[in-house]
Amino acid sequence: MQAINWILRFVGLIFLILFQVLVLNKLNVSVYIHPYVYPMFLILLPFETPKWIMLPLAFAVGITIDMFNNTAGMHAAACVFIAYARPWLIKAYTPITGYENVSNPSISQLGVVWFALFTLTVIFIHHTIYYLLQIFVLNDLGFLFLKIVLSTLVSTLLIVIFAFLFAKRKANR
Amino acid sequence: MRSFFLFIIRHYAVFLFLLLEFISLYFVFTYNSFHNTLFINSANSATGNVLNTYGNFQDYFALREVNDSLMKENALLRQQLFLDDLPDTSASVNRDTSGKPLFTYIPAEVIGNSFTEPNNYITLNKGSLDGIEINRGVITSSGIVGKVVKVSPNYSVVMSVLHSQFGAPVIIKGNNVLGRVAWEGKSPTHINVIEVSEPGKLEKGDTIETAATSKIFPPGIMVGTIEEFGKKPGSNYYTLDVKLATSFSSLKFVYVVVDPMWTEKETLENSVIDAGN
Repeated sequence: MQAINWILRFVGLIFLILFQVLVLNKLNVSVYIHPYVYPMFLILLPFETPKWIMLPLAFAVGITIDMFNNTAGMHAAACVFIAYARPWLIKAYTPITGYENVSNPSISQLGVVWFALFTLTVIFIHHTIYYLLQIFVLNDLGFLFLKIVLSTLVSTLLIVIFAFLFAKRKANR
Repeated sequence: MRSFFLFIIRHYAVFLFLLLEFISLYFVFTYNSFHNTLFINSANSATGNVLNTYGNFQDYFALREVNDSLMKENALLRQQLFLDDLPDTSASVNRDTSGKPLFTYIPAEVIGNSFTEPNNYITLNKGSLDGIEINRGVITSSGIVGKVVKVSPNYSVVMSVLHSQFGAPVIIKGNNVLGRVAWEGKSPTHINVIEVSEPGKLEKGDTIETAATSKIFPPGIMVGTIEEFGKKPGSNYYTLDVKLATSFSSLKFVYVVVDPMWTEKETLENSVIDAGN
């Protein structure tokens, strides 16, 4: 069962990466909004995922996105950072009832509000690191901040919608 | 020694984290300095193939637009062909003394393109096997696109004009005043021309084209038209706000410049720089 679960996760990850590089990256909505939804795979990993799996996985996925985008190691750096910070964020967002009987950060078990807040935080950190590396010459902090905030909001919204659709399909099955 | 290893094993996550971050940042800061040493770019065979396959599939949806642009280009070329019958003194600029063209072009298809990032790149479906080399200009029928920065056998990566590190010398058509293009990162349809000293009489709508001193572009390639101009406070130079002639949102087919004299020019210029040191 565990193995099937991981295979499904892996297939999901491939689709997520393809969606990111072939659909979202080609949309080029605006210079203010460039959503990145692929960190969703990190958000959805089980709480007890060991770090020796999580960190190299985050690095590998980040480098894959970097290859498509010609961003060298920027996505990898941002991904590894959020993978490392995730356990602390999970602890910081502990619900009043604790994480009893909850093994995955899912909408169905923890609610939309918890999931949206957790996603927002992770994505905000990811986008901040990524855009700081992109715009290394900080001559316009206002523009950079606006770009980070707007992109974070759109990415978070997309991820919550995806998670919602996925959770619903699972419940119907 | 034993306790040292135990320490590392107990805190392996921190070391793994630092190691991976170090590798990532190393890639980031060496990307532009090492040309073909790294595999982390969209010209490698894996990413290239994914982008190319998807591009082939997408082609069917863009057939009408591509047709339109090719028709327009055809019309333009026909017009030029007609003009060639007349004696034109400027036409000799791009030909050598025996009448051979100084520049030739390799057509290529865009399979990856971004224009809303702070630094944008374009992936082409032609590579070193087709004769594409690093540091060559890329243009369309309407204007400049960028320069080749990575090449693999079948694919190449182009640094777009919409990139914080892109720069090329340009002139204001008519009075030949020099400037340099630079992108501020805010609009994919506009670019700045900076370091323009004493441009004389300027008007909105004046044409900006590539200068003869450009190492990557042939002279006289369209860049765009002036929309605003002025001096920044405290600066001796004028800055021009130029509307790009190239539409980056509908980029499909481009031409890579082939300059047979490139290596000769480059080695000559480098030898002068070396001699100066």
